[in-house]
Amino acid sequence: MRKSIYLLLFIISMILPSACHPVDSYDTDPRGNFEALCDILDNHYCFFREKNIDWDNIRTRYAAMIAPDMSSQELFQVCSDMLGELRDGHTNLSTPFATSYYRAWWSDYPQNYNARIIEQNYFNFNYTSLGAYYYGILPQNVAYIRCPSFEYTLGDGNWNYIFSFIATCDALIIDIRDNGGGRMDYVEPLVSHFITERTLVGYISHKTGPAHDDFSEPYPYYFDPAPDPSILWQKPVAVLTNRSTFSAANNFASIMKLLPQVKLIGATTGGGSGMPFSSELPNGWGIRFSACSILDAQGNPTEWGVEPSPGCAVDMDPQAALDGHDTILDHAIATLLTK
Amino acid sequence: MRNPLISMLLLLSALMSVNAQPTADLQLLRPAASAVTLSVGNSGIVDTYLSPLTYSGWNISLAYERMQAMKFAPDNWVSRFDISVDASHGSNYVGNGSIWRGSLGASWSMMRRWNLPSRFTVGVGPAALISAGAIYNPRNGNNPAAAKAAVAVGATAYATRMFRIHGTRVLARLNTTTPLLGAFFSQQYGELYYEIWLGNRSGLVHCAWPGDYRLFDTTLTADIEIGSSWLRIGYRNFFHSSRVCDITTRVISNSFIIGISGEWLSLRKASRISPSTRIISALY
Repeated sequence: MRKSIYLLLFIISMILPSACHPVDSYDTDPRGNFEALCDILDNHYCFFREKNIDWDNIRTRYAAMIAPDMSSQELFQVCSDMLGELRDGHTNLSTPFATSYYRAWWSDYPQNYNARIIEQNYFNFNYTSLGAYYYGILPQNVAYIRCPSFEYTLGDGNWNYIFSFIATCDALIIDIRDNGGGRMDYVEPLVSHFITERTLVGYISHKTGPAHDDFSEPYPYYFDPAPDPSILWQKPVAVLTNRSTFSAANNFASIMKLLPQVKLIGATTGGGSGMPFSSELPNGWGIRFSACSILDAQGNPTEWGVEPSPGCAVDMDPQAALDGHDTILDHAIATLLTK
Repeated sequence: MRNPLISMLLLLSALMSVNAQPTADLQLLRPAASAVTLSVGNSGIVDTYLSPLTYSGWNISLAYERMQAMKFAPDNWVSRFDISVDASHGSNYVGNGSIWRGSLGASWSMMRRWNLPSRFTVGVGPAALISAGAIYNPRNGNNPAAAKAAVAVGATAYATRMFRIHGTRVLARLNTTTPLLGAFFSQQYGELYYEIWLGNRSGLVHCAWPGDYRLFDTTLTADIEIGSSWLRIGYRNFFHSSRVCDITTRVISNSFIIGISGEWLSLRKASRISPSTRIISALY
């Protein structure tokens, strides 16, 4: 009996390891972590083709900088510089002492937004805050809604209250400058108050395998109007954008631009149309990167940003800003009132 | 034509009835062998949709099992039903990340059994398995979890031997179950659940066969008679490995089992156990 059990356990112990499907394993030294980082991006990053990036070449160049005795800070610097080659604001390497961040997508451009100018000179601080948002009515009878982030959302009841409050206004300005994004599913509750029928708003395409061209057929997705008895706003709308309008806010801009009553005013948005995935290295560092491409309703990528409507590209005049004027906001008011 | 067919059906029915019912002078009783067990041990989890790293930690499982000789051929066939809920937690190599796994599984099987010399009993037969659960990595943003679900038919087998230690009856048993063909759920390689939520449900169900979906749930137990019930102690090895859409999932746990088992009879108030009553255990 005992021999039989030992034999059985031996057979099981021989069978089980060979029954495993293989998983890549890496050393925990600098080389192993570097290789893991390169493989994760090689297999999952979604914009190699759009950005014409030769990842093998980049990998080879930076691999030469890896040394077995380098410190964590030195390894981070090499990896961080390598990730910068992706020119992607959604790609970050997170360590206990630093997070890598590619900034040039916004730092190379004028900021085009100063919250204090609007709060002080246009509203004299008399606006209504609701969650992360605030709203008010400008003297020209134009409503203004500040949407600083899509990390937060409002419910239909909140939105209906806001729209009933501004119902007598002639036009609406939605300011998403400096909105760095947030949750994609928080875009729909706002867009749903500007559409009257089910609307194609974009496509989503995911990777189907590790090769750089392994992508699924773009899947169309639609937004529905806000449920009855919601207020659906059909008067003119201006959406204010700058280069720091990114990710989910970039998606919001691309969708609103589709609507006939909407003009995008300001600067080209910052892009960030790749929905990020998370993974990690053997040493526990976290890596986030664009992995799933969101396309606009025409099937075009918006990774490079969404351009303003024709005739609506405008920057803030720094001199006017010193005098308390937001020339992008002024341009929007003028455009809406002359429509 | 119609009358002969009805006659044949009636005859077949009568024959089956004779086979299933105890005769007047031989009463057959089929006790249900039930067990409730708790398993505690270690686990190793990797799901490359969430992370390329293997997470190691603990596993805990609560299970109920019921076996009974089958009515139509109690000497030769036994049925087995089991349901279990598993929870696992693991940490990555450096301990700054954690992963959770939860799973609910059930199986039903019927096994042909043979009583061998030296008081060995072995059984083997088909099984139907169903399971659902998820692996959750709280560190991840848009890909925090991988849902798991499977329906399959497979095989199960057991071997038992009753013996005595210092006069106490001990039933040793080895049991294993594995799926062979079925279907299981997996998102695509780089697919976000957001896309599934938007409505893209294509390519989520995959054929499960030993090439891409392997699972062995094996227990080695000893039931020690203590009064009218039995103490079950033993070892459980749970092994699962799947690879589909270039996503590899592997869960291995080794656990110590402790529980209570026993054989239960349901008797009507008026019925008696006569000297000619024959009790047919599902296990030995």
